[in-house]
Amino acid sequence: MARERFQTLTEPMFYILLSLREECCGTDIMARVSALTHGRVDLGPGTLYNLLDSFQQAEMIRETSVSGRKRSYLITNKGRETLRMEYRRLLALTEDYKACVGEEEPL
Amino acid sequence: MKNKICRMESLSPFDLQGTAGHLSAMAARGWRLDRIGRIFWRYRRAEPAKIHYAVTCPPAAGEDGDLRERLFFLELCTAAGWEAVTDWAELQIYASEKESPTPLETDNTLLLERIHRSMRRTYLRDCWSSGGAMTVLLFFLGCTMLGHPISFFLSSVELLIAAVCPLFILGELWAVGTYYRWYRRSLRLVEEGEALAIAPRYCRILNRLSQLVLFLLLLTLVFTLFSPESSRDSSRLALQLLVYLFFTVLLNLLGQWWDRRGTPLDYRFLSGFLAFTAIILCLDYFAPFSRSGPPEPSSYTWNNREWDTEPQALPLALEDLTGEPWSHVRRRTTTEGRTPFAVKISYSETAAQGDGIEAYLYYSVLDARFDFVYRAMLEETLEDAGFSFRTTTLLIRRCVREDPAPWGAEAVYQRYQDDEPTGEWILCWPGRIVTVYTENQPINDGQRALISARLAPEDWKEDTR
Repeated sequence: MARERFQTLTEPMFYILLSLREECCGTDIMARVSALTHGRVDLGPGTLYNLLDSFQQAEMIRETSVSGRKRSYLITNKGRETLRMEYRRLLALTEDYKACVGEEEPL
Repeated sequence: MKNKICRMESLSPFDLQGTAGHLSAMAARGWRLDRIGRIFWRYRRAEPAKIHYAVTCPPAAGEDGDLRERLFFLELCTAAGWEAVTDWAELQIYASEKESPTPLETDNTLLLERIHRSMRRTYLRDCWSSGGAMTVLLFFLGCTMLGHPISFFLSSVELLIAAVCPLFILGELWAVGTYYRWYRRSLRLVEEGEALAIAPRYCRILNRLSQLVLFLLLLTLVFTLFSPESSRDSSRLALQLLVYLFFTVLLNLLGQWWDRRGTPLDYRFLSGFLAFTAIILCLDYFAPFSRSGPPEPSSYTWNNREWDTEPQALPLALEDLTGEPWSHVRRRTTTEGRTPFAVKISYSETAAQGDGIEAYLYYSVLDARFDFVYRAMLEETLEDAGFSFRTTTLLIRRCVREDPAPWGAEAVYQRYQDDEPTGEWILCWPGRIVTVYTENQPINDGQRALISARLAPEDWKEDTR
């Protein structure tokens, strides 16, 4: 059965929503994600464009301002809820891991 | 030294990595992509450099898309060090001179989804529609072959199209199959966290092959148009196809120009309609100019009519049939068609004596090289006896078999009109059908034997000797 969209978030989705807790434009999102992850997650412009478009359609973010080529976005309550659910899911995964392997077990 | 070159590339639109690699290789050789036209890719000379290219499919960001969306996408790309080069249908090509730029697309699942949607709208739709058009064309050609085998087997252009159509249909099916194989492989790879699959090498070979076939087809049409061996119908069909192709290319170029200027749809529709009208008018205008046999021989005027100064020799002439010379003669030979399946040459002669007595002779020699072609052509020749209208009278035409012995032929038919015999006979030998028409000239047994002696195939004459 096909998984519902945004039921689980990919790394780029998660970090985009995380960055949009504060209003910022497209280019800032790329810089923030790179800074947040210390360069671990690369966010290509093509991917960013499409995810912003999808998030907007799903009403998880909203466009706040447009100035020339720049567009700024901010997360909505629905987006916050999705982010929170993802956080809880990741926590659950971490707890399950700890329960099975133990905190000190090297990877 | 040339600063711009145009190349016909053999890349498939879904071959994103192959296209990027090819453009990087061209840039390393000092040629950077300028723009992609409907047929050619234009490159400009530049310093050889290591340039990264990427092909992507941003929704609503093509030239036809929302300008606001396009500008926003450009903003994101510029921030990541990518510069827009050109559009390729719904795809866009970007270049970056950075040593190791952030990839344009970092989520291959999303990219594959968009590419697949785009390919269904463009590439696959084009494959299915051209394959469908070829199938319809093949169907009509099949109907022509069954209903009018004479014109079909004598037309080199129709035979050529009938031969090329199945190749194109197979090519389109192969292209669709190749795309879905690539898509399934890409899906698997993306699920495993890998990049999209590279299109197989044979895709380029297939694309190059189809370009070659198209080029050969074009050459054949031009050759048919100018060859003195071509029949009038073939030349006319070739001319019509060439005019149609010319306007198709012209409309494509116009489409590009409209795209660049952002012309509204209403103007495009109006211009398209005008161009279509121009095609029809051109076809109508140029049709009489298509070559129609060898140049006219020198002539003189007598009794208000043109007569040959030096009449050409014919296999059978009125002076042979009547046994007397004619003062004024006009003779014509026309190649009705010459193909590997059949040849048809028609001869006509009008003659007059000084006292005003006139005679007319027409005959055509149709040679079929294969038995099934011969049988189909004979059937059509004999069937060509339905109804014909002359002013308001309905005439019933039919062929009646008669004794072939006096003619020295295998079978002979005389055409009747409203139960009245006409001066038209159809003489059959193995592989040859001859139609003879003598206007108001009674034919005796001696003349019948003479016609047979002149027009029967050589191997038949040797066998009966």
